[in-house]
Amino acid sequence: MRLKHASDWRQLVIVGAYLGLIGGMYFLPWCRNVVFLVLACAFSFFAMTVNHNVMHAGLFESRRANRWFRLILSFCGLFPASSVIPSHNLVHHLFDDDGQPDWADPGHARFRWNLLNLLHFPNVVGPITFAGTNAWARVAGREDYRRQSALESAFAFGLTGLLLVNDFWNGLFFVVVPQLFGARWFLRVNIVQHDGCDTATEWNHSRNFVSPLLNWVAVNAGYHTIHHNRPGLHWSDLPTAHRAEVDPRIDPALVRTSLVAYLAQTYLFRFSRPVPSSARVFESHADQVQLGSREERYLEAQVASSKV
Amino acid sequence: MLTHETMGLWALGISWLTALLVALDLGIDFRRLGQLQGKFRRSLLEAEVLTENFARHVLEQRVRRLLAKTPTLGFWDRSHTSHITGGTVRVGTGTLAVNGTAGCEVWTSSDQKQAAARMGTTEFDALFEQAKRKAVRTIETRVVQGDRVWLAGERKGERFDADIVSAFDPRPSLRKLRGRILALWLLDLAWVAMGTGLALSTPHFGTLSTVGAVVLLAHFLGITPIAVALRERCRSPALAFVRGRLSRESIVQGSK
Repeated sequence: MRLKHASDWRQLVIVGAYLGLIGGMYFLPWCRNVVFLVLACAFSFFAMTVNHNVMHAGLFESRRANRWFRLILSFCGLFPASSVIPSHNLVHHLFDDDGQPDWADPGHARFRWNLLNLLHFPNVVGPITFAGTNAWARVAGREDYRRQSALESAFAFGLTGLLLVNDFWNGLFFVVVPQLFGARWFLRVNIVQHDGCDTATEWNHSRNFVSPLLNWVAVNAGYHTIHHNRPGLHWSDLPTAHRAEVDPRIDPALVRTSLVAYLAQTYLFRFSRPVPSSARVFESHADQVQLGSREERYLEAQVASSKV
Repeated sequence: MLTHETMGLWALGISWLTALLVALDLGIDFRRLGQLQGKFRRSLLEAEVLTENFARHVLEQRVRRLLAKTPTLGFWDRSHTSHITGGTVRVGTGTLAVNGTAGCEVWTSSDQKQAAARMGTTEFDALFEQAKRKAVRTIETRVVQGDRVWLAGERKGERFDADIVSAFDPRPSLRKLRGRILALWLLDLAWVAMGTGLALSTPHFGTLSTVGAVVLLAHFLGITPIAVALRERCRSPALAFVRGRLSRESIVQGSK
């Protein structure tokens, strides 16, 4: 059960904290308060960022331990953790599904009132991702994925079902609500990170959130540009790589400090959707940096995904 | 302290918000289809094609082997392209020169595409072999001399600038789609209303109330895939998905 990377203990703490919060609310009446619920919902999302990281690079040296950990993560978000491989690693990282849009493309949202786009986004991209993942899994040669994914679903839905059978209302309010909150924000964050960005560019395809506090609990998920470009990089190395490679090439408007401030400015204090910015100019001013083509990065992600 | 009553009200709010968001999102398609109906009322022209190659629609699909007991292929749409050559059409007793405008769409029916995609066992076997690696196939549907077409666009004397060339009368399918949206609106709101009614029944949080919560949870998780499926059906016929699967066995059985 040895960790591959010393800093990965933080990922275990985040998942442990989340399970502690929902367990507390489910079993202990004094934990059923707003503070616990808000923290549980927030940590449910942070657990999903852990899910994302471990599907890029396994947490433990033991492959079996990694697979067991995926069962726990599947319970955290009430969906098979392994589905991140097709939906995120293989499709989202390319911003393209073999000629068709990314399953989580912000273009799937189409309201003029931007707040509705934020609210409704998971309702649209969730089913698209689910259908896309299922179709992907039916291809020959993916039997191992199907087996693991089926196990994860059985564990996640089985354990949640048991909790509901044992105590329906506390299970619904204090386990299922945080699970769905985290899973839906995991989908929703795609519109936050990419809406209005030019996904055809190499360094201006994503919006970054660099608050140290957010990135501590979200295991550096805020450094999204560098993660797209260097998907093999360990999450703990992202801030340094962001400063070295992304900062000189990105429109400063795509580097925000506070996620909450951005959400308020973009979805609460304005009605319409922001006009996409043309940010290529920021890339042309900086020195060239060696970066594999998208096809090469896709192949790299494919190989890495088969190892987790 | 968060009571069950407080949490129940929040959950009800989320259920209704989801129901309304689904209805509003489908409303975008309802409105767009209505605008198309209006456009067809103003400018739809039924004609007979007099030119040999008038228009074609090309669909490119990725082909992969599927996990199945018998050889089976899966198809994923990659791109949909409309090509208008244009030419002459007969309308009533006169003729008209038709040009495609930039962005003009060619609408061929799902049946036409399925017919064009049909293959025999020899073709299947060749494609199955190719699908070991990356394989692509093309489905081409054509509008040719003698075909009936429905054209939407702008008439300028003896010339017609078409922005839609349809190989079928598009009006019934638009009516049907709008009807389906109306039906889903009803289902969406009736489902969430029924769940709410049950959930609020007395004794609160009793058996019937629990059934209501299950109905609402099922709505929350179930209505969106249905809505997205309908949303995809509302895509322009020029971009309609023709994804699917085909087994060798079904070809053999079909030929018997």
